[in-house]
Amino acid sequence: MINTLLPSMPMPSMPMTSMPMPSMPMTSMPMPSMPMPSMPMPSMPMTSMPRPLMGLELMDLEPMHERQQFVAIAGAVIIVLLVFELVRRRKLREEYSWVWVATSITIVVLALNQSLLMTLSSWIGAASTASTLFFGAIIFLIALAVQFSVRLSRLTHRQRTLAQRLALLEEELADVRKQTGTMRKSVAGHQTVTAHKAAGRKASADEVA
Amino acid sequence: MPASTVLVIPAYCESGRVGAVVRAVRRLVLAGELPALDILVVDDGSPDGTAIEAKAAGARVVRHPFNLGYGSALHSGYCAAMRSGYQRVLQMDADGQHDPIMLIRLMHALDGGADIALGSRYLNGDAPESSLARRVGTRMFAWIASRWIGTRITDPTSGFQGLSQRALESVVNDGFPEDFPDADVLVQHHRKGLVVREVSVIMHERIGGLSMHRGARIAYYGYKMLLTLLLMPIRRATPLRTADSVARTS
Repeated sequence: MINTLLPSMPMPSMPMTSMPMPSMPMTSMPMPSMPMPSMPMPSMPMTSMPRPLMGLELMDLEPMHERQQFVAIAGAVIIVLLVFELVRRRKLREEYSWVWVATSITIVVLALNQSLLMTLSSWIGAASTASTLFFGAIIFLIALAVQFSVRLSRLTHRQRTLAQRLALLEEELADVRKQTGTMRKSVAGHQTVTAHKAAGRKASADEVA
Repeated sequence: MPASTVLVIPAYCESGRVGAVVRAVRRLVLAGELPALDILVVDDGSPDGTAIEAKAAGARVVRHPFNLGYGSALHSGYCAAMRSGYQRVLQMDADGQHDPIMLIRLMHALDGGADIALGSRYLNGDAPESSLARRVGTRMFAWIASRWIGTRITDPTSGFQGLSQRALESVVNDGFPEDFPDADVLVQHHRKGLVVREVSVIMHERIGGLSMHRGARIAYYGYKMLLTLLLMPIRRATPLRTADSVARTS
C-alpha cells in the first residue's frame, strides 16, 4: 500500500532520522524499504524545509491495523451495551443515551469502512487513521462537556428559582397560618362549647326518659 | 398605616450581628429619626441561628432552603417586596458595616428623584481599610461604570442602596446577577433609563463573619465583572427569569 502511495510524492528533504514515522503497530505488516534514496533531493538544507501539507495524506496514511480495528469496535460495542444496561436500569435517561449510541455507531462505521476513515484523515491532516479516531473522540467529549455545562447552567437557574419561590411561599404560608391560627383557635373554642352544650342537652333528655 | 418602604437585609451566617442591626434600625424608627419602614431579612440558607435571631429582633424573615449567594438573597428580598406592594426598597448589609442612620440619606435621594441611591464610602474620602486587590478592583469597575453611565461612580460594590419602584420592577423582572451584583447592575439600570445617584455614607469595619470578597473569589469576581460588562450591549435578556419569574404571585 505504502509503496503505491509513496513514489508519486515529492518527498521533502528530511533526513530519515528526523522524520516522524507513522504510528505503526509492531505487529503490522513489515515496513517496505522506503525508496528514499532514489528520490530527487532538492539542494536545500535538509532540516529546515517544512513538510508540505498536501504530501501528508500520501506519505503517512495507512489503513487501521486489524487489531486497532478490533479494539475500536469492541470499545464501541461495550459502550453501547453499557448505555443500554443503564437505560434498562433507569439510571440513564433515553434523551442522554442517544449521543453515546450515535458515537459508537460512528466508530464502528469508520473502523469498518477504511477508505472513509482515510479520506477523513487526509481532510483533517491526521498522521494516522488511528489518531483520526482519537481526535474524533476528543471532539465528541468536548462537545459533550459543553452540552453538560449548558444543561447545568439551566438546571442551576431553575433550582435557584425554585428555592427562591419556595422561600417566599414558606414565609407567606407562615404568615397566613399565624393569621388563621388565631382564628382557628377561636373556632375550636366555639366548637368545644357547642359540644358541651349538646352533651348537656343529651344528658337532660336521658333524665327525662 | 402600613409602611410603604421596606428595608431588605440579606444575611448569611450573621448570627450575633443581624439581631443587633435589626434592633438598631427599629430603635431609630421608634425614636422618629427614620420614617416608618418594615424590615425584611433574607436568610441565605445559614446553618446558624441567623433567621431565628432576626425574627426575635422583630424582622420579617424569608429563608432560603440552602445557600444561593448574595445576589439571589437580594433578589428574593426584592421579589418579596414587590409581592407585598412596597413603594420603595432600601438594602443594607447584616454585618454592621452600614450605619442605619445613613438610610435617611438614601431616602432623601430617592425622594429627590433618583431611582437608585447608591451609598458610597469613597465619596467623602475616609473609607475603611481594604485589601489591595479589592481597592484596585473597585477603582477599575468604578471607572468603567462611571464612563458608561456618565456620572461619577466611586463605590459600585456598595450594598447600601435605595431603589425606587421603577428600579424595583426592573431588578425583579429583568434578571439580576446571582452572585455579586455590582457595576453591571448599575449599567443595566442606566440602559433602562433609570437615574443612578451616589450618596455619601459612613461605613464601619465589619465586626466579624465572612466577607464575600475573599481569596480566589476576587479573581473570579474580576473576570465575571469584565465578561458581563463586555457582553452587556449584545446579551439577550434573561428569558428564564421572566418565564418562571420568582415574583409571580399566581
